Amino acid sequence: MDADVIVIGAGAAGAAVSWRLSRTSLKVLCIEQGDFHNPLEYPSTRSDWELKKLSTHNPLPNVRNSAADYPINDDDSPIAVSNFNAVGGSTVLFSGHFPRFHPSDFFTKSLDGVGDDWPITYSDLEPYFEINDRMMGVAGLKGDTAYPEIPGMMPPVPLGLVGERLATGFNNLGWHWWPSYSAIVTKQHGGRAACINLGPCNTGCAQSAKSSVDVSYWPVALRQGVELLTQTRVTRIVQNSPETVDCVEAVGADGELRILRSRAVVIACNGVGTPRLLLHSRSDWAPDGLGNSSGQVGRNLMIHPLGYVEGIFEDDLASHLGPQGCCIASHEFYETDSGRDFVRGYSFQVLRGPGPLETALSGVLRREIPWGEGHHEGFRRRFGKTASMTAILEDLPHPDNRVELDPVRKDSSNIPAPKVTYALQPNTKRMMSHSLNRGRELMRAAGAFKTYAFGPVRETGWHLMGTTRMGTDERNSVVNRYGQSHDVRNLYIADSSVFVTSGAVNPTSTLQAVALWIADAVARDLGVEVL
Amino acid sequence: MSVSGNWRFLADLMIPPDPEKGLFPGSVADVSSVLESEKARREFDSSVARIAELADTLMGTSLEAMTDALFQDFLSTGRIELEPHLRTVGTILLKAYYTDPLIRAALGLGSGAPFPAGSSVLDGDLELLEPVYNRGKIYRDVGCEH
Repeated sequence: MDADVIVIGAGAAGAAVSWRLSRTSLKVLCIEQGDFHNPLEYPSTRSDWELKKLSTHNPLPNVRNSAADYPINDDDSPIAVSNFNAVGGSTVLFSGHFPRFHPSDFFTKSLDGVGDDWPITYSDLEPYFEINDRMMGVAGLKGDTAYPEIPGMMPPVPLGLVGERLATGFNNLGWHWWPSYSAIVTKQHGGRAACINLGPCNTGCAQSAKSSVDVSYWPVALRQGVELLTQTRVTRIVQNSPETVDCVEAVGADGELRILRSRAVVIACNGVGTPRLLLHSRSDWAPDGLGNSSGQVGRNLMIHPLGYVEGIFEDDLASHLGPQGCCIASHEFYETDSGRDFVRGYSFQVLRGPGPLETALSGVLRREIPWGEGHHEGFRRRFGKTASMTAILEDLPHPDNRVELDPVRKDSSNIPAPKVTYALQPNTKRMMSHSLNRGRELMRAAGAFKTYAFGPVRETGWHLMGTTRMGTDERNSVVNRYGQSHDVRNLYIADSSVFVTSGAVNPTSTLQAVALWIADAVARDLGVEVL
Repeated sequence: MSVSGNWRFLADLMIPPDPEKGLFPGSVADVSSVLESEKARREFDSSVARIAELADTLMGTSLEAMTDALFQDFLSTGRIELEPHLRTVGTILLKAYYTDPLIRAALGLGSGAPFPAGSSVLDGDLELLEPVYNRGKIYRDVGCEH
């Protein structure tokens, strides 16, 4: 045996599982196709950081096309898949916006007759949310009326002038708002220095104040003995007997094939990478893909369609300053309201305004910053005066929204690329329209003289959920409530693929709590205690 | 006139200097730094050449001789034909211009990288939350959240 447990993927979920299992007597090996990135080489250490955001640190793997990336065919989706393949995974580029799912998100079938109920609840996850917040380092404010009590956070990130202005708008309308839950340390935490408001968190945090898992979980997990194999791509999980997997096949940077054996395998490759690996791991025992006797692997993909709302203000709000994706948020329209023409709901996430280049590019595109003598004045009238906000829409599961293997495209290891087929459902379209209208209303209530709103935004497919969902019925789910495959008893899935519904907030906090919950189950099944 | 000559005049028409405010013209930006491939360079050169041709055809003048008023007429008259070429060169110009340290400093944006200086941001007045508190809980009870 090379390890007791092999964890595939060193992102948000894989890091949490690896760390949790490092508190047992188990030998843990994590395999990651990407590598460590040096925070001191992130774009925010350069004056041309906005250019790097469009190239090397672009959220789209099809644009980055780095050695660690695999191509994704998302031609049949209005939303392009975003990710980052590295130690830290997509948390390297995430904004750090860190709200939890609501208690109602686990009961959408019982409450609203849509989706399905989860086989676990908010209260099951509550202790794991707390462990995760402590490990990651989370800023926020107690007392939020949109949640059961959330303890133990650092002071919230600054609202800034733009946050204050939009908060006034929310108050004018009588709508809920709250300082963002942020995976950003606002005080020294775990050897990491506090946030200094660099701005472009979504190109990596040079200060390491943003709680990407390469700087939060991984240093501790490695100290506690987890072995991390980087630049190594798992090509197949091998099943040679009816109820267990035997080993994984992986290719290193040197091109050598390695066979790695363990007692259990935990997959944490996200809602696209995980079904891709399972579908590619066919065998005589699993002709339709590993763990896929239900035919559900790859189905029910949920991506969170995003609406984008912008308001232009007369006065300078210094809106470009502060942590890019963390300011304030509103859950006013989160829960189902029978007076609306859709069920479930959405949240608003207030962003910081665009940087100089993005301001100029969008201003020229919209013909509001002219070429010629009015150019400088046009730029001056927009820069720092633009407030931005996204609406994150709950995406209901639908079997036709799915990940399959592309018949033509392959990655550099000759594994078929994932092919994503996705369409917005009618309920989501109505919700989108509502969110864009309410977003503009908010901007006007805050004093904007001009507003824009559109959606779905194409390059925002970060939140990949539902493609190996958990459930009690083996006919319509892939794993049980502990992330264990219904078909293969030593195979677990610990990322947001197991989500039954999508909630209407960024999923990282919840997926990590689920990953910790599943890690404890793995330990239990292997007969060891978590210290 | 060469592509680089035409480009200099075109860049300054697109982003003219503002001597009073110390703002640089477009030609100061080094576009070669953002032309990432030979293909991008060829497309850029081709678009500059086509815009110069259109200036001659539609306005009967060179880019060098154009005033801002004439340039605005040109943009309006040649809108459809100019569109793809202006988009190509405009994107490159903006990328080069708004990431140039000297230009950014002149615009009052700070010349350097965000790190390590960071920035100062207003904490904000959390008393604004009073009406949110007063309204009370808004999440749905499901019977087992605690």
